[in-house]
Amino acid sequence: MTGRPRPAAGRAVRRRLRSVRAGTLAWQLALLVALLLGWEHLAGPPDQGFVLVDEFYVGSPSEAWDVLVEWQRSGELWTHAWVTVKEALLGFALGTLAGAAVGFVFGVMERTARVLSPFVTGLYAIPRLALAPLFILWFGLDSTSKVALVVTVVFFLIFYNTLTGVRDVDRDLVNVLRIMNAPRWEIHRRVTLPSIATWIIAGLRVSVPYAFVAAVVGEMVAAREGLGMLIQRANSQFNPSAMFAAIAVVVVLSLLLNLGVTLVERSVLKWKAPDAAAGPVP
Amino acid sequence: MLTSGDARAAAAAAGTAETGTAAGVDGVADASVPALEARDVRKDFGSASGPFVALESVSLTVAKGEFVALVGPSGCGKSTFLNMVAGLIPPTSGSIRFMGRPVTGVNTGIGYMTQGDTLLPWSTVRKNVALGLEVQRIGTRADRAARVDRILREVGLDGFADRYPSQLSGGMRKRAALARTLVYQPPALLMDEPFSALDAQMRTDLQAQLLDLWSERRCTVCFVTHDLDEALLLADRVVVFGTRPGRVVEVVDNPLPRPRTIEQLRASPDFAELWRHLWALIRDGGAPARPGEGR
Repeated sequence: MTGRPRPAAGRAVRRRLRSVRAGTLAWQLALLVALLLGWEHLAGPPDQGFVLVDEFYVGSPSEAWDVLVEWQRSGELWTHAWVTVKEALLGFALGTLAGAAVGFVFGVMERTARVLSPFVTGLYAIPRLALAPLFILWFGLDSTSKVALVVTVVFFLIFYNTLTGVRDVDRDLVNVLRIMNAPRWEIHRRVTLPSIATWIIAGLRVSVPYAFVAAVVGEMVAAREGLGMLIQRANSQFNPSAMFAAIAVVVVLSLLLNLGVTLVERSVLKWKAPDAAAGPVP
Repeated sequence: MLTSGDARAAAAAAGTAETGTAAGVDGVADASVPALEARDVRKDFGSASGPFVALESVSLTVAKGEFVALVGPSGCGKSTFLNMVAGLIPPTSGSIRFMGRPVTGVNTGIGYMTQGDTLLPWSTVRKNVALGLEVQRIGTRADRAARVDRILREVGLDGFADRYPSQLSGGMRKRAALARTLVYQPPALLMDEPFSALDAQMRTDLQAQLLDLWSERRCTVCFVTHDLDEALLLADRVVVFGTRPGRVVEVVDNPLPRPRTIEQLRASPDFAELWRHLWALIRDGGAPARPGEGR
């Protein structure tokens, strides 16, 4: 029988995969170090040799590092990072729940969806950045206004993915259940929901950076705390190194949340073939 | 969507399920009513170049407990016919009655094993096979588990119960789908080339098992196949379809004595005679019935 997997072969495959991953990681680190070194040495005072860019405009990695160490010592780093993480995560969760729920309803109730779809498309076309001052007016300077901004961004990404997922449900699988005389909710539970899970997770992956971007942008518009406020402050002090320090924190947080999504994906989509799951993520 | 006829059919099916395995066919209605009655059924499909006649004036009556094989070249509308019996697509004209009631929506009185791969990819083999039992709330949890285990053994999938479909070969997926269709014991089975992807030995085993199950329960079976040996081994009657347009060319009685095995059949001159007759029908059935019509 061809389908019978051999555990020994499986282990060998896993070992090879691990060594491939280690190689990839080594290359990634080398590239990162090269970029930072290049930046460090090609930026500097304009009158010296080998200097391509005036450090006044781009700062340097070592200065950014010093800023980070300073923020860490003063405790500022954790306060502000935590504020931004809270806003991004809360907005991410609320936006995901709302987007998935509304997307599901739209997918199932086709008539309602037809009536409302131009409204949703219209709302989607609103430049969310333009809403930031309005949200601050409505919800105040604190986190709530930023969470709201994150929700408006994440909602649509998840909404459209869920909607596509519901429309993409395999009719043949639905028919299997209909012939078994399954009630509607059973069909949704056993076919629709598992089949849109793939789409929702793809949506989550796309949403992660946007959630942080929205939180940071909201903070840059007006805030007392948060990484966006740090960026804005550095900007007004003409301190590019501090700006890059704050940006680096945002990037790292975003990568961590992305890792979280990967873990969720692995447990929810464990039914996908192992070799398929190891492939590139759509 | 649900008409009163539908609701009655569903209620009848549920009743069968509750009274357990013994009810089988008799629970549905009295034996004089045919399981399936198709009258002058026609199916057109719209296409860019105008309507395409998939099936034309198909009339067929299948008695309760009868095993009917549907054979014919590809594109002759056998699968379309099964889809109409299952109530998944409506006929363009004509009528289909199942257990005496017109089929107007999804036919929940049948088990349908389609040609495609319709296992739920996110459920294990065990979960997939238990689907009908769980959805229809048949038996206790322990009953269901026992029935699933037994059928998995019968189709040779014990030991693979906790695999996902993506971890199985094509033949194993077919067997899982077969187990899923058989395990909740619907009063009638529609099977669209269920064994075509299997190797010869597996096919022989499963044919024998299907015959055992059928002779035990006497459910009605409509079985699409390309394989004339298989048709003559299993069926009481063989319905030969032709193409362009799809239609029934002839319904051939199969009087070969039961129980049958493929070895016996091969040695039987009657079998050879029937086989040649069917083959001739299929070969000629590919030609247009009435030149000038069709395509």
